[in-house]
Amino acid sequence: MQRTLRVAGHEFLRHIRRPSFLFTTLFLPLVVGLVFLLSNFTDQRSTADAPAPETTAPTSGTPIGYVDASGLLPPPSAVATGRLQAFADEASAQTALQQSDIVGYYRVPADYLTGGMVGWVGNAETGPEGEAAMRELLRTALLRDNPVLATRLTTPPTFRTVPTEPDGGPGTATPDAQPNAGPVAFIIPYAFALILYVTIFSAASFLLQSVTEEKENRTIEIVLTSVRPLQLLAGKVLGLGLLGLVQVAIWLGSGLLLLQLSGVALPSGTALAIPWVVIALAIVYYVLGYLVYGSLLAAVGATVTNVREGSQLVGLLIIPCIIPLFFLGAIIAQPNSLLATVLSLVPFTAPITMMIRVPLTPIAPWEIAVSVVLLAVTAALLLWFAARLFRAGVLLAGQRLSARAVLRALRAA
Amino acid sequence: MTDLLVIDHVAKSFAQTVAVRDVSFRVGAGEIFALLGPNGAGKTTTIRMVLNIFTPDRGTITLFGQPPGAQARDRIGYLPEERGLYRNLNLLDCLVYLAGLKGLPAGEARRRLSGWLERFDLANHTSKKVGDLSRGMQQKAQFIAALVHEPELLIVDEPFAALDPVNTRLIKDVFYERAAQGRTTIMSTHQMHLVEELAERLVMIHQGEVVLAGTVRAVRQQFAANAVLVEGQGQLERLPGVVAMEPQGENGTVLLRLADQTTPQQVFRALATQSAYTVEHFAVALPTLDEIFVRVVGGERAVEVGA
Repeated sequence: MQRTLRVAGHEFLRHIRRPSFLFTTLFLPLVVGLVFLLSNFTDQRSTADAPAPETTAPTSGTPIGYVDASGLLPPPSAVATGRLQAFADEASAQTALQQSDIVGYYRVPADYLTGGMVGWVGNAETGPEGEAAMRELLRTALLRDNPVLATRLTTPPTFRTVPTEPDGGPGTATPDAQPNAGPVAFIIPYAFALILYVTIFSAASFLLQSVTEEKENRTIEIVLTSVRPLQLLAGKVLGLGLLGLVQVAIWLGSGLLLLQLSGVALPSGTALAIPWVVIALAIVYYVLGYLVYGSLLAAVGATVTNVREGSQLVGLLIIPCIIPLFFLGAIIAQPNSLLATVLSLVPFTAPITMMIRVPLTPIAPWEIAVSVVLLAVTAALLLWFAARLFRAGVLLAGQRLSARAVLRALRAA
Repeated sequence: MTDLLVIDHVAKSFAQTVAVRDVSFRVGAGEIFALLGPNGAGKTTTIRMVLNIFTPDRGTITLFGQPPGAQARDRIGYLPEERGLYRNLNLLDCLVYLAGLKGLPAGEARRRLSGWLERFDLANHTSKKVGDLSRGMQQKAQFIAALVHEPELLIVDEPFAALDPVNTRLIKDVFYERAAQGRTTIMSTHQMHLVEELAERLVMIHQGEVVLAGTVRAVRQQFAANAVLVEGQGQLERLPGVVAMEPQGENGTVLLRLADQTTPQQVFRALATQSAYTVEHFAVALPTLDEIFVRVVGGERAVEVGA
């Protein structure tokens, strides 16, 4: 363990001092920042021209009428109805429509409370207008006895101003976002997947570099006569994972900084809205997810002869990590479906799937336990597997690692 | 002398090639032992089996009284033939790390390294990148890395390659010091004059098999032709029993080849009793290890000489 930590510390320090590391780590935020500031500038111009969001009650234009037969709606004077205009009966509404005083009117039937249907009489081509305003009016009316709840319901959620990615502009929330799913449902899995993905990728390139470099410069013979392959690889996976984390932290930090510098108010509610259980699980899945992929990549590093050959394989092996994002819609719609459960148990897809599901729905503790155990076991197995391939005897036997040689190495005592 | 390392009839093959066919030898504690052989003879494979990098196909290896394994790692120092250090690291960091892998805490490693770096004239280069050092300096650095943890067994492959006479002297001194402390050194080298000078015993491997073994002196005697080296005046070729005379070098020394039944002692007596000869130097002609090496690789085997 002590030597594993020694290797980890060495790998971390060795790579963090590299000019190439400093360059990518610091250069990327600068480029992204520049792009971001530009896009933010154009965004602000376009949002200025855009029509006001639909959820706010329209206050201009030809009025829209409504006829209340249910008796639920308050007298017209009791609410600020804006464009909406109450009519005592349908006949007067018809008259107003014929005289083009209104574009159309809503008919709230007597059985609205049980039926939930509201009729629209008016221009059939353009369809109902001011639907949102009508919905708001009805909501307010239904909750007349509970004004606080009414306010909370009618105040639109703040999700529209939350960027989905650190480099995304405002107003990029997924258009089909359901208000009840909340911003958290989308931001957490995406942000989590992005962070995990970037960590794996950056750590993977360091890992490949480090492993192949030792093979190329022949240090490996001395190193492997001093430490066990498992100690060496575990140290590398740990040290370089930490390095990847540092890189991601710098990128994230600078992303947030850029957001604030550019004057975009971060919705403070978002951070507070994430329950601590989700954060704790995110950390657990992040670490285990990295360990699984890190160990897999260490195994790749053991078999390839140069970095270029390895990079191609890495691209392929990381694909399972993003599979859950393809099923994002399905998982959000049914967080406890068989698909979601299976993806949560398969170690390669578990971290991101769990991060999609956890904020949405309570998950059975056994399910979390099984998936965590499976992840940990997979990470350990993969690391062991990589260590078998990484024994000096295998590396120095002077033959390329064919599938057969790999199998033989695994079987050997 | 207790045996530190016993290699007993080991063999190792890779795919179609037989690297080691049948090798046995013993190395005692405190010895300077030479492992010789032409390129591709199986020396490195043998060393790697001792280091537990390879497992022998047949035969057994006993190191520190046990089969080679993880427990022996910290007791061995190794300078591989293919040198390798972290080229992007500065010298001191690199050596501290390698010492750390052998179990030395960083503080202790720094303390010990400062002495070694001073001794090997590297103290002014500790903050330079390893890749910027000369080849000789890198080699010295790697030599230090192999012995800073004071291993009981030091295995060095071509330790003198790329070194000038001053640095060669430094390394020889280290070998002698280690021997005096009872620590063992196994060296594999092609520089035969250094083997003659340093090693007590040697084993020579050729095509995966031991072709020569024993003390350096005994091996040279085994290969001694019936000849004497003489420096002096007089008609040396007329001496009884001399069948041929070959001049050796510039200083007037000649090699006298003797008839089968003539001994060097008879020639010596003849020289001493006849006033026609003045002798400045007389020696039984022992072949150099270099010659023996070439002859053995050429197919010749040791002859059993009487007496």
